[in-house]
Amino acid sequence: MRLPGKLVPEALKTLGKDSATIRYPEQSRSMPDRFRGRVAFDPDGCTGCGMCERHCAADAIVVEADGSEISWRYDESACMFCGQCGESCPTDVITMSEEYDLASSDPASFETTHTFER
Amino acid sequence: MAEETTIPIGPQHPSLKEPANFELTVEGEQITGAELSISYNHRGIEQAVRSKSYLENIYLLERICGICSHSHTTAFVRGVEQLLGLSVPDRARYVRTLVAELERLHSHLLWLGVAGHEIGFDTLWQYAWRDREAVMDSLEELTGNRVHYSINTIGGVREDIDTETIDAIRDRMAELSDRIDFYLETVPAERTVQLRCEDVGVVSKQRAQELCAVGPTARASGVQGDVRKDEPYAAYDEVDFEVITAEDGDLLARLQVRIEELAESVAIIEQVLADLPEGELKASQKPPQALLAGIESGDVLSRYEAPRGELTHFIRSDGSDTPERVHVRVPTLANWPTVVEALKGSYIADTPIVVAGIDPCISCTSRIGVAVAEDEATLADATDSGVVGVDESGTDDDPGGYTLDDLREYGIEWYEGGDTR
Amino acid sequence: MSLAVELGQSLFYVLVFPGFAFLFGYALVAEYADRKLYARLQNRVGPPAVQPFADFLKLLSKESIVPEDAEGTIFEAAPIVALAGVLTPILYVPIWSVEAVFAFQGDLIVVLFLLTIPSFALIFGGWHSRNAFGQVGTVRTLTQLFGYEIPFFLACLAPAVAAGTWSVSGIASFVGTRPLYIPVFAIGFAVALLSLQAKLERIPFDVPEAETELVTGPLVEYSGRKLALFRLTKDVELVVGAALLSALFLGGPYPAGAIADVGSTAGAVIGFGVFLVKTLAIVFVLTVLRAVLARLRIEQLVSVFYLWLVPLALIQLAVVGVVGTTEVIP
Repeated sequence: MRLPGKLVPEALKTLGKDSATIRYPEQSRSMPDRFRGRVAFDPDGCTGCGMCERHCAADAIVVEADGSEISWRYDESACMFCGQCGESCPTDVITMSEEYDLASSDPASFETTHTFER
Repeated sequence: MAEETTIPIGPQHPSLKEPANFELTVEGEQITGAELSISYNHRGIEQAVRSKSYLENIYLLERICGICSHSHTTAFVRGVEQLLGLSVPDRARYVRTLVAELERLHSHLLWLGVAGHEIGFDTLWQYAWRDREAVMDSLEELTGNRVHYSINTIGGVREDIDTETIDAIRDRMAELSDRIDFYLETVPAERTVQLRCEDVGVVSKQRAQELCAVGPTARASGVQGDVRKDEPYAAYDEVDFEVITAEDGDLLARLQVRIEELAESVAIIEQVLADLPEGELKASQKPPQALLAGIESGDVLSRYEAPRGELTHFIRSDGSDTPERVHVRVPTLANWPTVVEALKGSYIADTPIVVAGIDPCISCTSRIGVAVAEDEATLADATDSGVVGVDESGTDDDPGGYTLDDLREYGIEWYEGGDTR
Repeated sequence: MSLAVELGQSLFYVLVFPGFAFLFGYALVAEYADRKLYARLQNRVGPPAVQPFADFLKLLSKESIVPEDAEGTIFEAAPIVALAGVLTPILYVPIWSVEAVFAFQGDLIVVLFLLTIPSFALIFGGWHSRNAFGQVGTVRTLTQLFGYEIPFFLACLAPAVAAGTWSVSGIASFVGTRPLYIPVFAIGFAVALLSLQAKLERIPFDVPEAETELVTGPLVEYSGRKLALFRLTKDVELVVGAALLSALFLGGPYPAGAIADVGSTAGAVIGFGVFLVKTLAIVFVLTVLRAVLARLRIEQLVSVFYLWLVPLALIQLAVVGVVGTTEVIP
């Protein structure tokens, strides 16, 4: 006769182990170096070439040039965190940060605009 | 209770996390007939693909599925590389294989958990998902994201793997290997699991072949078929692994096949990490737009062995940097007919686990092929069976095809008439 | 003793200890123990200690809907009847001393009968909710009821036969003073534990509730206050069931009597401590059982009970008969 209960020893062994889960948000885990969170942009060094906009599949980045003034707009609610903008940027002013808890009930807070001289 | 009644399961049902509908004809607790309707969640991805460049489409197609995201990008970029005549560097091929096998591990462990949950075995679910975290952490360290790895790019991969990550993955794989042995020993041998899975949802080898089943579902019925062996891509011709099959074709066989495939995946990962060649990550250092400027027009069909079975991407290029047509056939679509087959003769209580048995990705399936109907009735049949789609590219030379506008009108009519149905 | 004092004492028994207030508190503690242990067996953190109470309060404050198609009166009365049904039997089960607060010859039958009331309340409530899932669940509850009640009664019969009494208190003191009988009842205890698990509709016998098949079966239309009462009923049933099994098979508050005089305050305290230990131990076993098994199908469940547990319970009765006639245990 085949009796049920093959998992009993394992289950009782598990009682002695630390929890595999943590109490989020009181505790949170650390992100690896390569983690792709919210896009971080540094206007210093941006040439306004628009490669980030061109390669953004989600159309989350809009770059507009008005004479020598460049406006760089980023909508994190549209962003899908693929990191292609950072890879396409010739001057490496776009990086992916570690920020991930981005939920907000204020839609305006998702928009970031940088306006600067070329 | 010998009289026949019809029970609808879905499109909203607790055991289905995504929408699909089964009309079950039952006699008492036994199912005598089943009909399936799908495509409740059409997302229009194939249409969206036509308005994006090949580069952007990698990320768009990645989002077809949250579990086999690497499968979709690999299948797509392989097709594009073929159109461009690019040969992918060795190191990139190995990294792709590594991510692909990690993805298979996480997908199969996820399934093991879901299967446990469907038969009320929540502890198995929690254990499998806990162990899956080792794989998710590896993927996150390696690629930067747990779900959408975005590691593929046209002509190679975007991120390199360093020795630290290699060591971390090796350690985790060693631990996971023990866990897989544990699952192999205990889960199929657990009496209550046997009671729920043995001789349930049986699909014979012949029926599996006739219904064109793919992946673990087909292999559990004894059908030898694995794109990794039949038409090796990435580094699969250079690694040693076995195609796992079983004979019984029931849920227990599928459970067994998937757990054994976990062990094979770990073995492949160990080989990949040991033999990782040095070298470039991308075939060309040119920026993507320059690379894509040289694309030839033509058709290409790319096959890939996703965790759920064979995935195909059909790509038609007109020489511009946006594809003219991309058609995706996901493995779940190929496996649906086996569910209908397996449901007949099962108990109502078995429905959740039989449906879960093919590891369905229901919304991934919702884009469906091309049906060129001669008349309204045929199209209606096709709609009922879920096989309907848009053949826009063919409308000019094939007047029988439906344009997008035709279908839209048809759709409105169909839903307006829905009340009287 | 005057009538007023006696009445006051009875009211105290019914409403405070060991009746409503105590059971309410202890049921929530048992639910916490059950959930925490279940989580720990699965390597999770588990809920904080106040979670069962917080859940109860939350449900109380939520809207309690009566579906349009439901038979309002029956639908609304079911949870109250169920709760009343499980609160009463504790008065006949010994807790801190040999005697239960109310004990008479034949109270075992009353306890067993009262413990079936929540199942019937669930059947009536679920059926009259007129929900398809609820009705399928109800049919399964009913089928399951016929599966587990017979082995449960047969298993409880064994100690009664051995003790020669139909009073729970009498059986507890018989088994308690003759601890050698405890291993004799091993089979019956196992059968009773499994039957209790089925009575409580817990994995592997949670067929009527089957979350992935029927959402929660008969409970599917219940919400707010009425759902809170049904959930409390399940918790109380767990505690009362554990208390009953502890009294029948493990000798209730014994061996408290060996340490201090049973009638004294110290004896009562020790007896109460023993009661807590034994009932929590039973809850522990039931929780482990829930963690390591998969859910059966209804026809598998019925065959497990009829083909395995009923014969086992009969064997137990035979064993008790042999032990009784040969008088191997003094």
